[in-house]
Amino acid sequence: MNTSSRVLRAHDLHVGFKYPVLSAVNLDIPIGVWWVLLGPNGCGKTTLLDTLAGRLSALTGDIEIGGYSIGKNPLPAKRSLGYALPPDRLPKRLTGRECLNVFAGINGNNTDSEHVQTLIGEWSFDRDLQKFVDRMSLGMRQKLGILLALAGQPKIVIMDESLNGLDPSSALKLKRFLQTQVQRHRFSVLMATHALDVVEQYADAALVCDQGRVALSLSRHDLDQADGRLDQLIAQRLAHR
Amino acid sequence: MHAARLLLGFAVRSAIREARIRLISTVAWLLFIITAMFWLAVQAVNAAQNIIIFVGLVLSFAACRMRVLRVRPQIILGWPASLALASSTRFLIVWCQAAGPVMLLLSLTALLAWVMGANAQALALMLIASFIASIVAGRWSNASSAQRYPDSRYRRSRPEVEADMGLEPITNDLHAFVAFKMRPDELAKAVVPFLLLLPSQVSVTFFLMLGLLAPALLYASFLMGALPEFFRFTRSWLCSTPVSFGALKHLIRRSLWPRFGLIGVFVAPMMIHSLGLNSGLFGMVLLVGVLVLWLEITLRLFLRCPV
Repeated sequence: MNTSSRVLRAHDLHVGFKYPVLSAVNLDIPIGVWWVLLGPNGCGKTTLLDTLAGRLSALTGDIEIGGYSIGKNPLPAKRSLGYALPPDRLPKRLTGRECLNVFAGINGNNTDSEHVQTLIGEWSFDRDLQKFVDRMSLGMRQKLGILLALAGQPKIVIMDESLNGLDPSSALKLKRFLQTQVQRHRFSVLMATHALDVVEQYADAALVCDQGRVALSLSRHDLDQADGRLDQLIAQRLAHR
Repeated sequence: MHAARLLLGFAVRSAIREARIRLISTVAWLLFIITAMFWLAVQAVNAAQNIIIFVGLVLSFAACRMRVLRVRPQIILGWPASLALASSTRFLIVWCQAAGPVMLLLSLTALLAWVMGANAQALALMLIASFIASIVAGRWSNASSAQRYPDSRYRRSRPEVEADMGLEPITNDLHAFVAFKMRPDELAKAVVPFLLLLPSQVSVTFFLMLGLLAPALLYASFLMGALPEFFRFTRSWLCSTPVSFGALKHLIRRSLWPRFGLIGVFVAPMMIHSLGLNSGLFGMVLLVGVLVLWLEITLRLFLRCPV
């Protein structure tokens, strides 16, 4: 793969707290793809994403975002990263608009990026942005977390079950929006989710975490073969491993 | 530069908003304290000392609000963690967010105490004691005491309670309840009504003993009050789980010590300041502490023994 088109690379990554939760993870994500992380509850998806986003330290292994090591050069690496904050981690005492300004400002933008404006428009979210975060509903905070991830000019957007709490219409708009942006090679998406429709209809590849490893890697071709029975396909592949 | 200005604006705005929200409860609290001060002033008894003790209680209440516990997780996993910020900037933001509003309230309280004529030396001592109390709370507090009570079983519906018969939630509930009630701010709230009802001639010793005894009695009564719940829900567990020394050690280290540490840190400086090193009084305080500790250990051992 051409290194200039690579947005995230993880080599022999072991993530966890005292002991590894997921071991020997290797990722090589180019620009313009939507990858999905699947796996049972507690298998380490969130720990992996937190580590990739520089929120947790890796036990061993290297992570590069936009060509910079997140351990050695965290600032330029994080400038290429958009992390959708979970609803409970947002700054409570600011309004949504103030949050956006702070996040955009840190990434060197004075105003909302085009992505953000588009999504605000699609969601009709402008009025809700005037509310304080602690007055927002779960869905609103989820939307705000996603907007904050897009507030800079990220090359990769990391989302941890960001569709939870969104109403079906907003979730559909988000999925279509992400698909369009990915197809235009604006950024890549790495999303942990349990929503199999996302995998079946939108994802370019899926990684399945199981028993402390990335146990399966499914390409778009594999996903097409599932023919609407992705859960069965995953179970079969895991059983025959 | 633009980012720095934004971050500064963020810190100031969120600190003021936080303080404004806290202020509503704190103003009510201060009004209560002022009323108590006037009551004592009318009686003209030990006014300066009483004021100092009141201020100490209030400061302890405020210092506990510093939410030391939340600082480290915020630095690691809070909203600034995934942003392109230097670690020192991230640290500053989190501390401003956590401590800024409380420092504002602390300053107001100290100013009030000063205006009311509190002794400067004693006031400084109280400040130090309450800060140490907040650090102790942050260092040794367990997860349940970090949560606000009620947070679990006592709040659940009956079907939920019946569906979950494990002991762990019940133990956590009791811990959460007791730990919450033993926090300095809660202790302060519990002690002040007693102070309002004091007779005209009282000594500082009386205050101190009351300060220790009242929470000890409250603590004991909470434990006793929770016993029927324990018996109802733990019958099957009692027959199956042996007593473990490790569990007991864990219990003392994680749950009991912080509470006694808090009381000790809070009471000891006041005693030294007011009375000097009085071995008899210290002995008595120690005895009360040991008695309460013994009561809890006995109750827990009894509950954990197979029948």
